[in-house]
Parts: sequence; C-alpha cells; structure tokens
Amino acid sequence: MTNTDDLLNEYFKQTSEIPQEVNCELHGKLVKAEMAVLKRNSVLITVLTALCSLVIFAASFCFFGGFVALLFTSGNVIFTLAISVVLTAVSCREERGRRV
Amino acid sequence: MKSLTANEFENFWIVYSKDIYRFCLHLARGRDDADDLYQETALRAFKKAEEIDESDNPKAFIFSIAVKLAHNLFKKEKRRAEIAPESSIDDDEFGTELTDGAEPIEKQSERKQIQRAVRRTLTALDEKYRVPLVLFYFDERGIDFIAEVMKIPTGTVKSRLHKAKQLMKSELEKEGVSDDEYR
Repeated sequence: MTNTDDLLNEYFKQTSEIPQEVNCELHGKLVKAEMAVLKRNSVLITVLTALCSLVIFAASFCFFGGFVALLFTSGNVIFTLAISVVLTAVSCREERGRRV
Repeated sequence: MKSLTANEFENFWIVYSKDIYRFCLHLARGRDDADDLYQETALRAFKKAEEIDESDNPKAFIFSIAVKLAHNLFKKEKRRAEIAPESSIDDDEFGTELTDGAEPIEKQSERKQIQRAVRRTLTALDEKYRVPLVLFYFDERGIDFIAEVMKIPTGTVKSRLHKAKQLMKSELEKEGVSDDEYR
C-alpha cells in the first residue's frame, strides 16, 4: 500500500497547481457583489408584487366581488414569484458564463 | 460565536480560496465543472456566513459545503451519463505540470500517461471513496478533518480510505501502471 501512497502523493503534488488564468480571490468580491444585487432584486420584487396585488385586489373586488378578487390576487402572486425565480436563475447563469 | 460581515467574508475567502479551488478541481470531472462547483461553494458560503465560526475550523465548514454541492453534481453527472455517455475526460486541462527541465522527453510523456491513468481511476471511484481520498492526499489533512468535512465517524473514514487505496491499486494495475513506474 505504501507504493500506492507514494504514487497518489506524487500525483496530487503534480496536479494541484492552479491554472494561471484563474483568479480565486476575485470570486469573494464577485460573490459579495452578486449577493448585493440579489438582495436588492428581491426587495424590488417584493415591493412590486405587493403593489400589483393591491391594485388587482381592489379592481377585481369592485367588479367581481371578494372571492374572485382573492383568486386573482393569489394567481398574480404565484405568477410573479414564478417569473422572478426564472429571471433570477437566467441572470445568475449569464453572470456565471461571463465570469468563467 | 461571532458571525462574519460581508467585508469579513471577503477577507476570509481570500485566505482559503486557493485551497478550495484546488479541492474543487480534484473533486470535479473537468475544469468547467470545477469552476461551477467553486462558484456555487462561494455563493453558498456567503449565504451561510453567519454560521461560520472563525475559531472553529472554518475551512472544514467550507469544504463540507463543497462536498455537499459535489454530491449533487455527481448525481447530475450520473443521470447525464445514463442518457448520453460522455467521452473520456480531457486530462490535459487539469493543472499545470511541475516538470523538471532536465527530465528526458520520454520520461515526461510516461509521467503524463501515468497521471492520466490515476485521474481516470480516481474519477471512476465511487463518491464515498473519492472524497476522503482527495482530502487525504491533496491537502494532507488528518482523519479528524475528513470526518468533520464528511460528517462521518473517524472509523468510517479510515475504512473508506483503506478500501479506496485498495481499489485504486487494483484499478491502476488493470491500467498497466505499476507503483515503481511513477518514480
């Protein structure tokens, strides 16, 4: 087993060099920036969703009554959340593509 | 326990980033996967910054995040391979070789071939053997550290390491690599 030990030690020693084009430290900064953007986006989405829901609820309450208003509002919330999840995933992927 | 602020996390990351990248490079199947794994680890670590205790082995905490993410990556790879088997790994994209200028060309090419064989054998290993083996050799960490990262008892780490070495030995022999060749 000692020989396999030597072989593995040698292998890891020879292949543990980080490619020159990789800037590991930069990732910390980028992640911090990305998190700040995500946080800002999530606040924005929450505010917009709340406003849209309020408008939709008020409008549909006037025209169709309470039950339909609730139905429309919940539908709107689900739709907005789904869209925001998709958009966030797409923007993260684009960001990652740019970084690599 | 004191949690890290965004600026503290940035400094913390600078200290450990190279080791984490190297670890991801050895865990993943290719450079692209390693880059993805590294970025995901950074993102997840930032989200969990308040759980990082600088006095309580923070490196193990980050490594365990990478191991968890790598687990998902392996699962995805497995599914992908079932649908469309991938071609062999491009071993040349891994690391830069520490070549000795005085070394004859035949020796260099022989060394490279052995490296490829080790890489193939290592990536073919089951995850539960591959992770402790990588942790043990690349960072020369002790059993306790591996147990902390993998969240398993030290006895299990020892037995998995032993089994992993046995598997490596038999697979390398099948590939035609004898231990003496590497020196």
